[in-house]
Amino acid sequence: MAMKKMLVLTIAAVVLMASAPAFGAQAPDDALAAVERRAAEAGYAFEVRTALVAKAREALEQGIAPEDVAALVKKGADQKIGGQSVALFLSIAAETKRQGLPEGPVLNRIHQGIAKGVPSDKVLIAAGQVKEHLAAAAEVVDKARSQGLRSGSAKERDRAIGAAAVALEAGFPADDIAKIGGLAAEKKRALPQFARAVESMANLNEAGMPREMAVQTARQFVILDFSEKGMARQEIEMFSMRRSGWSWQDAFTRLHTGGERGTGGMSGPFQHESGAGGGSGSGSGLQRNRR
Amino acid sequence: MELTDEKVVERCLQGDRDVYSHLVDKYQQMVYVLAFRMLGDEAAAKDAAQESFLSAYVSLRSFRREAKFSSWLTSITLNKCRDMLRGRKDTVSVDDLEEVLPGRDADPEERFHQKENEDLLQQALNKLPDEYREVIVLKHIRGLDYAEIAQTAGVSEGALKVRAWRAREMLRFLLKEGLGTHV
Amino acid sequence: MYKEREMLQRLLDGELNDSEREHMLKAIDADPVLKRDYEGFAETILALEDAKHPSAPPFFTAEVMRRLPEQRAPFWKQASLFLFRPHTVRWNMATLAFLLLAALFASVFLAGRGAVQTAAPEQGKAQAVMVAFRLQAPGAQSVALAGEFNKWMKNEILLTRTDTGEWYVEVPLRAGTYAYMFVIDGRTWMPDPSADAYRDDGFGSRNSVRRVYHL
Repeated sequence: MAMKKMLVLTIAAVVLMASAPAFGAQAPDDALAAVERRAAEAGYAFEVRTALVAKAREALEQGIAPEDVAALVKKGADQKIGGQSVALFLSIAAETKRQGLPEGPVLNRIHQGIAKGVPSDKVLIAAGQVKEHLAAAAEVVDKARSQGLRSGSAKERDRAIGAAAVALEAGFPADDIAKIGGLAAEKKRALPQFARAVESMANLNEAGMPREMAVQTARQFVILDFSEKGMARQEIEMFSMRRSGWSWQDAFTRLHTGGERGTGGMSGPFQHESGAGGGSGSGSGLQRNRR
Repeated sequence: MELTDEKVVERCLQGDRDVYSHLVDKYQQMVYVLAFRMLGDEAAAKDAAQESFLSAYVSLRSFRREAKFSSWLTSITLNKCRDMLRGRKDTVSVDDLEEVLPGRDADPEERFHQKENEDLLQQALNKLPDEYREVIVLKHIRGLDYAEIAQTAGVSEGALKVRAWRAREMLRFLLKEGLGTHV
Repeated sequence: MYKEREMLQRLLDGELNDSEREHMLKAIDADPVLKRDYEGFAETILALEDAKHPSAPPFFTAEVMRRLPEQRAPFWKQASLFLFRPHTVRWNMATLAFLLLAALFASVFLAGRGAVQTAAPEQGKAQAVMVAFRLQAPGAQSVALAGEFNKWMKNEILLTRTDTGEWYVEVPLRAGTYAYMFVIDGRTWMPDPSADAYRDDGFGSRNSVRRVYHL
């Protein structure tokens, strides 16, 4: 036993020491060095390399994570993308960040385009569209925050913007999302609740629920003050009912009559103290002779 | 001396592979019925039941002694069934994809009409959403109480009771009218 | 009405105490609608509890035993089990001191190598769950998974082929909605036939979508 304990402790200590460097993100200088190296390996011309490093520096200064910068350059080089194009990709990511928008979705679209072998100009256009959606989404989110949505951290704002941008891209009018934001603000809901309601709206619509009904569902989630988990649970149950052959309308009405509600998300119509004789035994409490 | 589940597990862990057959003998009916009622199909139930016993054997080390072996096995079986129900949506090969994609959501009921000789109860159970079927099967067929189901299924008791309520309403409707027959 | 429905369900669950039960049964006898409901539910439940189940197929045990792996897990698997299985470690002040010392040593060691950046603390809910992806592609030489969770790297998450010709991988993902695709033989992008949904990829094609919940 003592041996085993020592072993566990030693492993813990070794793991602690070995993994400590991994906790720290790649330092900006390392990232720039990596960019230079990659650019050289890719055989980019001197001017192109210089421009690329300058754009990488700019992106880092705007606060884009070093590993994201390095990953983008690496992927560009691996896929034999021209250095100028990679510089433009970095540029649009930096610009997104500069405007106070989350750069993640833009980088994501770029990574995807490069991986799929889409021509650089098309990737750039697609990334630009994502940025436009993010800007429109930020307007909606910030307006709701100014109207009284309980605003949280920058990270929560980013997530809400991301969720609204996905909904916009899926074709939801900005006005619909703004109204949900207004409602959430009026009811003094928290930012993540708004974000989750918008995510549910997009998820349900993506799964086939008519757009208007999805908007109503999100509004209902806000009105009933569902927790994030509560919304997730409702969503799952609706999908589940749908898979089993019930109509969206059925799922919609049924789930609104007696779902789980409350910020705790766990209370339901049957939430009660199990008083005397309350412990439920196996199966039902039916007596056979009542049949 | 009686060979308890714990003893069998211990001996398996010490390398006695054959002794595992005690547990398979003892629990095969329980596991098979659970799988059958969840999946509604005997062949699938056999696969799920066998896979469950194999998974349990491979992960015997992660079995916590404070839990009952039967409860642990039940949750493994339930997970297998969930996996299979999930996978059931995708029994098409990649080549058929183009045909499949547009109509995916069009007729979810179809799979229920394929098996003609299923009993009515099973047909009704098949029509329940998976999560609802789970709670109903565990409660009224496997005979667990809500606290045990909560542990097995990883869902709160409150949520389970809501599901049980709705599931019974649906089932009652399906048995009375939905399938056009009285029980 | 609502209260009565709740009481009815609790009665069916055997959760009422004697006096509640007595009271409820009287109420049921007095109210034809409630009575009809009670009998309907009771019939449903009895249909479940009295149902005749099929028996496990013959030779079930023999077949399981035949398929049981010959040997216990190989060494590396046992080692990984040992490393990642939760252990109960009893501790005392000396142990604590030892660990603190180790931590101190680690931080001094790292300080010498330059600034240490700490990762942003994740929210409590941001726990990852293992999510399975599978694909029937018997003719494929390799299948990879690329998506929003791995910067669309097409050679990073490789699926393994199972005995049945199915390709399979499990990936740790946090709650959320993820667009992804399979990459066959490093070249062909293929949607997942069992995806939760499909979504425009922004380049004129459609991605598969997987929703991950952490409840």
